[in-house]
Amino acid sequence: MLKRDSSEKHNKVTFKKTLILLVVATAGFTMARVVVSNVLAVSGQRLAAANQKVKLLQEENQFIENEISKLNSLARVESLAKEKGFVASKNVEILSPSVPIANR
Amino acid sequence: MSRSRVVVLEILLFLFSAVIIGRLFYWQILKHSDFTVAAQSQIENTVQVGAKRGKIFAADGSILVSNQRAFLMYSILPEIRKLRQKDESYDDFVKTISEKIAPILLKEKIAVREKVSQSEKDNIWDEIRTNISFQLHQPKLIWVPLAKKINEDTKKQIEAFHIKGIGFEEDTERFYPEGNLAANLLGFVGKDNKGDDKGYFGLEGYYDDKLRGRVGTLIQEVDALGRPILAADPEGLGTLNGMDLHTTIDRTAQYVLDKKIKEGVERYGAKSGAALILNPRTGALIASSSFPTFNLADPSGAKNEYFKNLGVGEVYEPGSTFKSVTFSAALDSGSIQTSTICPCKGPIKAAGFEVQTFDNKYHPNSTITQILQHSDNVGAAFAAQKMGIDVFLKYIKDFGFGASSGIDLQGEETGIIKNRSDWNEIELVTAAFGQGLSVTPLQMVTALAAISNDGVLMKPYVVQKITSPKGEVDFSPKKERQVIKSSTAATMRQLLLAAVEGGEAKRLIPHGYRVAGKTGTAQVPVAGRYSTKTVASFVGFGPAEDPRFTMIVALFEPSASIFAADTAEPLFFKIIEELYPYWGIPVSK
Repeated sequence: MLKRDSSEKHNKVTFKKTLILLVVATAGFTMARVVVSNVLAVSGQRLAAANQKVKLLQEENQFIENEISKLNSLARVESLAKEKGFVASKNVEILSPSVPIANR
Repeated sequence: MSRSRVVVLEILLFLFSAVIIGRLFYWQILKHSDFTVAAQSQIENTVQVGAKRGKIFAADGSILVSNQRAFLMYSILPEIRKLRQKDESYDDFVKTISEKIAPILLKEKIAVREKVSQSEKDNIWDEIRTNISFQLHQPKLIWVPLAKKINEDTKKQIEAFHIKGIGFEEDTERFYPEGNLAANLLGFVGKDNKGDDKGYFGLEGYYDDKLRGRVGTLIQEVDALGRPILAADPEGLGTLNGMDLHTTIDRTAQYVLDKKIKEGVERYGAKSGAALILNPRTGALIASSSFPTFNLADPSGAKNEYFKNLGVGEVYEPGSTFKSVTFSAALDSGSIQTSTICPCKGPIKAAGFEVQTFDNKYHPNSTITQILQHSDNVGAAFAAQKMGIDVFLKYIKDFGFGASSGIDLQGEETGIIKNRSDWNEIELVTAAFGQGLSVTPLQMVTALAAISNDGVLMKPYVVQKITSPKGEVDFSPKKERQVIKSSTAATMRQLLLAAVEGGEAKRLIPHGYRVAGKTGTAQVPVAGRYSTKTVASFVGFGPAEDPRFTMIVALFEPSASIFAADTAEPLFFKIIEELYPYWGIPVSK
């Protein structure tokens, strides 16, 4: 009789512990999920902002590249040279015997 | 409670449960796919990510074609219609909107054109207003496009009006930092029948599939406010930007060629002109110019014929420039030797016809050198008769005539060389001096490049490398075949040098420029007969001893003089006077 009582008591204690563990685990996971969801939501906003910034920087790079190309254009260089009084030389002496074209 | 009431209650509960289960079955099982789609549309955001069209670079890495931001202006008709005043007719309302927007669009359109006459301005103005009116009058549509490819400044000016119902979608358009440089070589980007960007002519046309890339889709989970959720990697087909083309085009040589060809066409009163410069050792196209040309930023205003690259797409009878092929073939086949003397006492008779010299002057007992210096048709016919049709035709085809060179440009023509069965004596003698067959300037300059390259014909090409984020592909020069022996080529180089130095235009040659080549003045056939109009061309290479370039200059129907010695040849030398110092080629004292 005494043995049966103690095993029943032991079972009840084990059951209570298991129940408490389950409740704590459930609560813990639920809290963790809330935290992770919150972090993801905020990250999504930051991701959108970062993507937008990348896009703007790429556009800016393209714009700068285009501006550089425009400033380096031969028509512009010729026009500036004429403005500054440069003239085409009639007498050009080539000193190097090697010819730079036909690179291959 | 009596037993019967309990039973009724049970039946009612059962029926109620059955209805609930039935509805649940309907919504969750039968309508599952519909709700999945609806849910996905709420939680997922599908974005089309446009692909950037590939760029085109010159040989020195400078940009010939790039992209810039542009916008599509659209209108949401239900929104814009709300702005109409109650007592205002819809036509007047549309006119008011149009009068606000149209001047800004007109300003952008004419800014890209060099010269705009008042009538052109009026036409553009009418076109813009008609288009806006047409779109805003669409009865059944909600969204209509009002203007495409407008720049950021124009967008900001229109946005300043705060017209509700007008919006802008981001797009890109082509950007040309060098203006209209090499327009016919580059081609332009228009629209296909689906409204997507498509390349036409030149490199844009030939490499359209590589340049356009692939539009991607991005599928992201979003929250209630549309912000992306970083739960997993976004799905979808990734965007693939277009590949970049790295060409063999020398930007400076191209600039000089464009300028000089335009000046030449205008000075000599020609209908049009073309020039090509090749590297004879590799077949690389250094420059290609065609005039009249078109405005790359606004090709819509140009005539259709201006889009053609005359260098590869114009077919003409080459005239005496073809004598370089005739004598190469005759010497290489052993039909004549350098010591051969042509009787050349008078006109040659062939198949009932008489072949004369262009000036009706005859030079008895001419050497090969003298035949070329006098550009003697009778001497050329003599050499062809020594070869015979089969030998001559074989060399003509080996030099690449009558077939596509395979150059990577859209719009190449093959010219016309008659089939063997259509050749008889008259075709033989007329082909000897470049009449009765048709070629392109590219074919002519490629053939001469073979002569300057020790007899080796190289395949002409423009793109030397294609790059993309995935890697790059290099294209090596391709040898087509050994057309003539290197000894024959060396002999021909000397003969062609003598032809220039002792030819009709020797007085026009700048001192010290040792250039070998041949003039060609070919009559233009009109309605089956030869007219007084000509194609005047000069094809040459230099320095004669060690050629670094081969160039052809062709003027179609010059009116100042019909002869190449007075037009195309001096123009050729004007071009190389500017290019020799740039290329570091010394001039002999």
